[in-house]
This record gives sequence, C-alpha cells and structure tokens, in this order.
Amino acid sequence: MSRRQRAAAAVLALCAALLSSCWDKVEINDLSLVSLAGLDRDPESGIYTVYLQVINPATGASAQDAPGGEQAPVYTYAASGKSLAEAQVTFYKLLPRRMFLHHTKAVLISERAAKQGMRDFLNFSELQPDARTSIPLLIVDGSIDEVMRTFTPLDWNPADAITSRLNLLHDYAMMTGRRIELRDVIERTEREELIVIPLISATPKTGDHSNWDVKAEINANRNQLRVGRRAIGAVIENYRMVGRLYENDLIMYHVLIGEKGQFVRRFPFRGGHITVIMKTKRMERRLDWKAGKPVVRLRLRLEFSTIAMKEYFPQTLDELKKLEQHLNQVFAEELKTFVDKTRRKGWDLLRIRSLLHRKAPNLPDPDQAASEAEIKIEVETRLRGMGNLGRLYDGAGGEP
Amino acid sequence: MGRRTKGRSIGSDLAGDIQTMLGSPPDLVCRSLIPDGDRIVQCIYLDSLVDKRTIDEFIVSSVQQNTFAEGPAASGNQYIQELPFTAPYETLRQQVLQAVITGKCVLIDAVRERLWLIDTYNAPGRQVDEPKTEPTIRGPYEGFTENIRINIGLIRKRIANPSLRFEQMTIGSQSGSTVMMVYMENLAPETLVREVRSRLAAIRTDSVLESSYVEEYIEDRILTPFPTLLNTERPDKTAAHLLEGKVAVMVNGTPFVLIAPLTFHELFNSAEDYYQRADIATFIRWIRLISFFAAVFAPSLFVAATTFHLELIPTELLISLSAQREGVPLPAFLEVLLMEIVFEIIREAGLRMPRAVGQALSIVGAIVLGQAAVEAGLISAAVVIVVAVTGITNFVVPVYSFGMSQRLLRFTFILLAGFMGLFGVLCGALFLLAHLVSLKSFGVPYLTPLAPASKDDWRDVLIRAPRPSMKPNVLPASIRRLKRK
Repeated sequence: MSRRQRAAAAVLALCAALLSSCWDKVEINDLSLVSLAGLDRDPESGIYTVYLQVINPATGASAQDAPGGEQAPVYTYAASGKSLAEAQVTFYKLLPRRMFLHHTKAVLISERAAKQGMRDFLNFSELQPDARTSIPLLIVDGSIDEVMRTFTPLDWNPADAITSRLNLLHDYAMMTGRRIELRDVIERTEREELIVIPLISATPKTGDHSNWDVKAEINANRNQLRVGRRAIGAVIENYRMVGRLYENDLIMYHVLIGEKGQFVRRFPFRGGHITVIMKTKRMERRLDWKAGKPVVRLRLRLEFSTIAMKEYFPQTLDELKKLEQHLNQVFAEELKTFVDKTRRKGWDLLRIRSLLHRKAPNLPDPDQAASEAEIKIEVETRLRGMGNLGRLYDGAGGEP
Repeated sequence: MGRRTKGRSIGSDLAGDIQTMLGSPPDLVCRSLIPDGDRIVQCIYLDSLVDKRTIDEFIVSSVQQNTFAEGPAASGNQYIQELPFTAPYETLRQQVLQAVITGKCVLIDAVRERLWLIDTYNAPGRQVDEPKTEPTIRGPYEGFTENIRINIGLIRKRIANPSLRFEQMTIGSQSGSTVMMVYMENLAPETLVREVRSRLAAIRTDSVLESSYVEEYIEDRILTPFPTLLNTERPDKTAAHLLEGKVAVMVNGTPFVLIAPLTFHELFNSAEDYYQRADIATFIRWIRLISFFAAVFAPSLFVAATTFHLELIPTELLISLSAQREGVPLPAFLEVLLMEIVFEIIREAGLRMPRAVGQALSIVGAIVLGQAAVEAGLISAAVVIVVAVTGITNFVVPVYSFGMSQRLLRFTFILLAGFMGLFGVLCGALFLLAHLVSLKSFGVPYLTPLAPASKDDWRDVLIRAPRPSMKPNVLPASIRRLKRK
C-alpha cells in the first residue's frame, strides 16, 4: 500500500468514526431514572398495572441527601394495559423523559399478582435488554398502590430504604436471605426449589399521607414502609406464591438453607427462658440410605454469645458444656418441628428433591423418595462471645 | 580574494577583513600592541565573548613585555593554538574568523610571522541555579546552565572517573553550535555510542539553538507523542544515567541535556526517588502512575460514562450528576471538550503573560471563571472537577515533555469517547499500547523491562527497592540488551 493510499485509508477510517457516532448516545437529563418498579394484575380483568417510582433529580435525592424545597424526592407513575408491553408504552402519556431501568433497585409485586403467578413478568423482565435482574424481588402485603405512594423517613428514596433494610434484616436478624434477587428466583425455580422472599407493607397512616408534609411527623412507625406485617416471608413455588412464613420460622428456614448471619432467639431453659444471640458458621448436608430410603443429615455449627443472656450466666466449664448441650438439643428439636410442619404442607424448603436428583439421578420416583426421606438434624453450638459481667446481679427487682 | 604577498602586512589585512566580514560589530576589538619599537602585534577578539581579565592581565601584558612567545605560548598550553603563518591567506582568514566568533583571542605577529589563537571564551550567562522544571525537596539544587563549560564541570564534579568521555562537534552551518556527546567509555555499549555519534554527524541544519533541535534529528520516530530521548536539566540525573551506560548530548546555549536511550518507565522516575526512603519513593511512583492514567483517561471516561454507559455509574452518583446537569445547555462531550480547551488556553496564557499578571490570570481563570460558569448553569460542577483534577495530575509526572504528550493523548481520547463511548476509549487504548510496544529508542524497545520482560529489573520499575537489595554494578536491561548486540 502506497503512502497516499494509507493516508486515504486513515482519512476514511476517521470519517467512518464520525458517521458511526452518537447512535446510542444519551444525555442524563433526557432520562427518567427509575428507582423502584411495582406490578399488579387484576385477577378478574387480567389488566396489568405497572408502577414506576422515578427519582426527581432536582432535589438531589440520594440516600444521603434530604430533599430540597417542596418537591418530592420521587414521583410514582402508574400505567395499565392488557399486556406489560402496552402498560410500558402507556407511560409515555405521563412521562416526559425516556424510561431508564438500569438503576432500578427493587421490584415489588402485589400479593394477588404473585398468587396468580409471576412467570410472565419474569420472562418479560428477562427479555428487556436494559432491565436488571440483580435486584431484590419483594411481595407486597396489602395495597401495592399505597406502598408505591409512601415516602420513607431518613432514606428519602424508598428504594434505598427497602434495600438497605433487607441487608440489615439479613445480617442482624436472618429474616431475609441473600438470594432473593430476580435472577435467584428464576434460577432456583428452574431447579424446582422453593423460595422465600420478603413481604413488604405500608404502616398505618396519620394525617394527609399523600402530602410530603409527613416528613414533619415524629412517629416513624407510621407513614412509611416496613418489611412484613405479621408474616415476613412469602413462599414461592414454581413462580407462584403458595404461603407465608412468620418471624421464627423464617429464621429457621434461613439457618437450614445455610445462610450466614446472626439472630436472636429465646429458648426454654430450666423452667424459664434464655435469650441467646446466635451466629451461623457452617451447614453440611449429607445423603445416606437406610433400608432403601433416603436419610438427609443436616449438621449445623453455630456460635452463640451470652451478651443478651440476662436470665442465666454459666459460671463453670461444666455449666457451659451443659448449656451448649441444652441449646444443641432444643434448637435441633425446634428445627425438626419446623421442617416437619413445612413438609406436611408439601413444601420442600430444604431442597431434598434437588439433592436426590443430584446425588441419585436414577431414582424412579424422586418426588415419592423426597417425601419419604428421613431428616436428621444435628446442632453444634459453641460459646464465642460474652458480655462485660463475670456474674449477674442477684437483686430481687427483675422480671418475674 | 587573491593570495597576498608576504611583504604586505597580514596582521592589518586580517584585522580589516575580519572587521568587514563581521560587519564592524561594536564588540569587535582590534588592538595593536607594540612590544618593540619596530614590531606591532595585532590582538583581535570579540569583547562580548571573552574574559577581559585574562586578556589584560596575561596576554596583553606578556606581549608588551615581549615574553609571550617564550612564555605561555611556548609551553604547549592547550588553550593556545598556533597557526602556520605560511598557510594560504584564505585558510588563515577563515580560521581566524571562526576563532574570533567562538570567543578566542587572536594574536598576529606579522614581523616574526607567527599567529596564535588563545581560548579566552567567557560568554555572559547566568550562574548555576536551581533547575526550573525539575525541582526537588531533597537532593542537589544545582541545575545545568546555558554555558556548556559549566555543564561539563557539573558532570565532572559528580563522576571523577577517567573513563568519562566528552566528544565535541559543531552542528549548524549558520549557528556553528557546540554539541557535546558524553558517555562512560567503560560502561556505554559501543553500538550505542557509535549510533549516537553517527546520528549526530548526519544532522544537516543551519542552526541548533536548543537541544530539541538535535532531538528531532536523532530520535527514532518523529510521529509519536512520546519522547524517545530524556531531557533533563539536572546534573545529578545526567550523571546517574551516564553511570548506567547511557549517552548524554549537551548543546551549548541550553540547560537541557538529552539522554539516550529512554524507556517508558523512566518517564515516571524522578531523581528524588533515589534520595527518599524506598517505601516513600515507591508510593510516590504509584501516585505518578495513577496520575498518568487520570490525566489521560479521566475526562474521556467521564464523557463515555455520562453519554453512553449510564448504567455503569453508581445510582447515587448518577442522581447527583443528573441534578447538576439540570438546565445545562451543552451535552457532556462538548462541555468537557470546551472546558479542556479553555483550561489549555488559561494555562498557555498564564505561561506567556508576565509573571505577576500570569499568576492573577491563572487564579481568575481557574476559580472565578469555573465557579461563575457553574453558577450561571453553563457548565456542571462535575465537569469543572474532572477538568481541574486532570489539569493537576498532568503536572505530577517528573518529565515536562511527557506532560505535554499526555495533553495530546487526552484530547484524542475525549474525541474517541464522545463518538464511540468506552468502545472508542478501548480501541484508542489498544492502539496506544500497540504503538508503545512498537516504539524504540536507539534500538531499545520502549517498554523495556516490562516487554520484553526482564524480571530482575522490576525492582526499580513499579517499586523502588531498597538500595541494599539492588545489585551493584548491574546495568539496566536496556543497556544490557545493547551490549549483547
């Protein structure tokens, strides 16, 4: 190639760069940044209602900043249609800017829509190139319309408020799991596992809750969102909500599926109770066979601390050993009771079926084998943390 | 002009011819000294280039006392050169002319038919001062000057070794500039010395007023933003490179000395690295690396992320950027491009303006203008921050000419990011990497010792290892490579 030809090629290449430019260029101010998405479906008419909570950038509403002036930090838009796509395009009757879903932080689905089945929505979501699946999915306990139109104190952006408290509930209470994102729901359902995802609801309202003036309300238990009401978890089987789990059951569920975190629990002890802070360390599952029937052995290792144990304090090594043994036994029994209860409902929360499928793929009737499988739970607890006291005070002014 | 006869006074002829050829300059002095009653010795020199004390106290006095020919001139003094009087007049005149304009004093004794050229060069110039472009906190404060003699002394002061070689040549058909090649005979590879010598000898130019004139002639590739010869005004740095077997090129009239070969990682090394503790030097070296990437890529990554890849930006930051951009009329690409151009204008104006005004202009430009633009809603605050950070990081690299390269690269990457987003930036980065790999400096690959890899040398590349852990008397990979050839 001669020098002139090379120069011409270079000029052409530069021109090509100019021609190919800007086709997917966007400006931040042409976008509406969606932070929270909601979905409802009327079981009678089959009409979908999609909610989008859009950040109002003029207020600089991030997790840290308080909104400025009288403007709301987020605006909730709702649109309906016979299909999700129709509902989506209907938004442009209301929205002045292009929908930008990349920064959506959570997806809420109404309980009635979840009970009808979420498969179509998840399929639609997966089909969208700009939709994220690494965001948590929650089921709304109550009216989704109310939840989507509720502000949250401290974290002014409700999506931030929801995701941060999910993390806290996992780390300090084990009331939610880590694998509750859209993609987890899809992957785990495709593996025929049951999933428990959190329920969210709006707290009781005082005054004119549709007005941003609720920020002046001191009672933060009102006029905001909370994870769960009485029940905290929705059991999802095959993309459909089939039941609910309550606080204690939810903790045991997360312990049994091997989630890492800490929780507080009261155990019966010497005619009363003791309060123990426990931390999960390890969970092992083993499949054995006994008389041709599967036996699933769960071995749990937990650490506990006596920081919250105001009722009793072990003084000697022997007392400590006895306490550990007691906790091992009581907690194993409680877990077994929980497992039996859920199995009676037909919920395979421990994923025994998928375990059998993996370890014994040639079983003629895996469902039958899973339902007949014997579950053995062993718990091993160890003291790892103590409070500041060497012994508890003995005065008479305590709880009866 | 024809050949003169011996009977005529060559002394007065020469003096007259020199005066004519130089256009009767005001600093030309032609003195007639009379040691004997019948003898006149012509003394010709340029007043502005010579040491008048030497002429008055030694030359004039010894001529007048009639002791010059027997005294200094007879002792084989290297500063005194005698020309054969029998040589053709044309040759003599040319040599005398050359001697006069290079600061020599010419003595012509027509009666005894003798002609001496005495080196009395002492051109006006500043004294040794702190290097302006490469200051250090710890380390010597001496910098090269415009006087090559002083510069030679500054190197000799640091390397008391008989193997130190200075090869002088004159380049520039009009300027006749003195260019000096410096190297350690026992350390510098012969191939390198030969190559530098031949490249210098091949220069055909009318003038050399700064070392950059020479640099452009002898560098391996002209079409590259990267310097392939190091320029420094620090004698300690030059001495360190000479002791690593490299070759330096000094040009009379400039404090900037060229050093060859140069590898990419050396652009991040400062003389001070070796005067600080190893851990601190390593930390600062990494700061320089980060600054380099920030200076080249920060604005382009900002443009790419805010124009094409909004999903990559953390939500909180995106909201903040979105809030800042409310009401800003320009797209992010143009915003950054314009701000960068304005920043370059301010910087250039600050450099060229008189010092006091320049400082004021920089402050007005950087703070007032930036803040006013943000407040007026013309520019978003984030862009001002990006441009300011880029501007500051640009000055972190110790080699000023490399800082200039970064400015060029930055604009290229901004354009690529504006047209093609991260894809464009990535293409540009790959092209840049390919270009760096293909670059050579006097036969040494530019990325040595990273590619080709020489692991032993890495202890002075990304880190500066403590001195005891570095092997003494081991030349760098670039020089070892040339020695093997």
